[in-house]
Amino acid sequence: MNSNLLFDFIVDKENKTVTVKREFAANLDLVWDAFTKQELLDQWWAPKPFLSKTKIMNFKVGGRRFYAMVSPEGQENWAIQKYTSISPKTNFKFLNAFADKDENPNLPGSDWDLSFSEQNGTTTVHISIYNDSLERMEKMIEMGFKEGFTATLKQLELLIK
Amino acid sequence: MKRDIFQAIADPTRRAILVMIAAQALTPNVLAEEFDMTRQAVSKHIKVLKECDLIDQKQEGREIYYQLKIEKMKEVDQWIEQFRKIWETRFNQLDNVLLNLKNTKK
Repeated sequence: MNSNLLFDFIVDKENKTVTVKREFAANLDLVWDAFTKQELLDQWWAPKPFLSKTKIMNFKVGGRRFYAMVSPEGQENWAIQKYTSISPKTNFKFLNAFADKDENPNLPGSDWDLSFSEQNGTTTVHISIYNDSLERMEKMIEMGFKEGFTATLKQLELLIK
Repeated sequence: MKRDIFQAIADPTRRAILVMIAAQALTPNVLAEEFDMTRQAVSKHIKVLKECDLIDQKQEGREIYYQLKIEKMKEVDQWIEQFRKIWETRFNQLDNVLLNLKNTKK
């Protein structure tokens, strides 16, 4: 990763919101496509060694993306993202809910709000995820991303600043 | 009332207090001076942090010293770090996707 590109990750427990902000060395059109086109999304959405498998994607208000995060062992964790608002190349919102393989959602879910802006060829993406409970955020992690690491206070300091 | 760690770190002043007492044990007076707050205001934050089981206090002579319970803090750190890691990996992958897109368009 280019270290000059901003990456902010803030967990705000009080407001039950996780905010993620990141800059990308690409113009707005490309970044928007990468977030809104199925074939591109599947290339990066799942952190390796997981795979993102989108079964249905209909990017329009009222439409949805039904996809799975597939573990290396082949376990599929399904979720539905229902698009609630789209302002092309500026913002889109969806309601994310975990689901079973038959698309039965496990509600209530979380509200996602993604904003895009470009300046001098660098595109900033601002994602805010609102969860009605912390348990849901924990569930997001439990979807199989446990990995070993050594945490230090120093990192925490950087994270929560 | 039993609180959890995330309530402790939701407040910027409490985060700053935690960072300070991580470096060394401090008295409430020193903390109040450092943050330009009244002792009462500091006490309120300290109370929350204590309820979250994030700090220990020890008496030395007439002074009370607060110090961080590092092992408790690591719970938060691990939880946040896992989540952060997902996004970091995801975005690094996106960097590559974007690079490929740029190259194909050229």
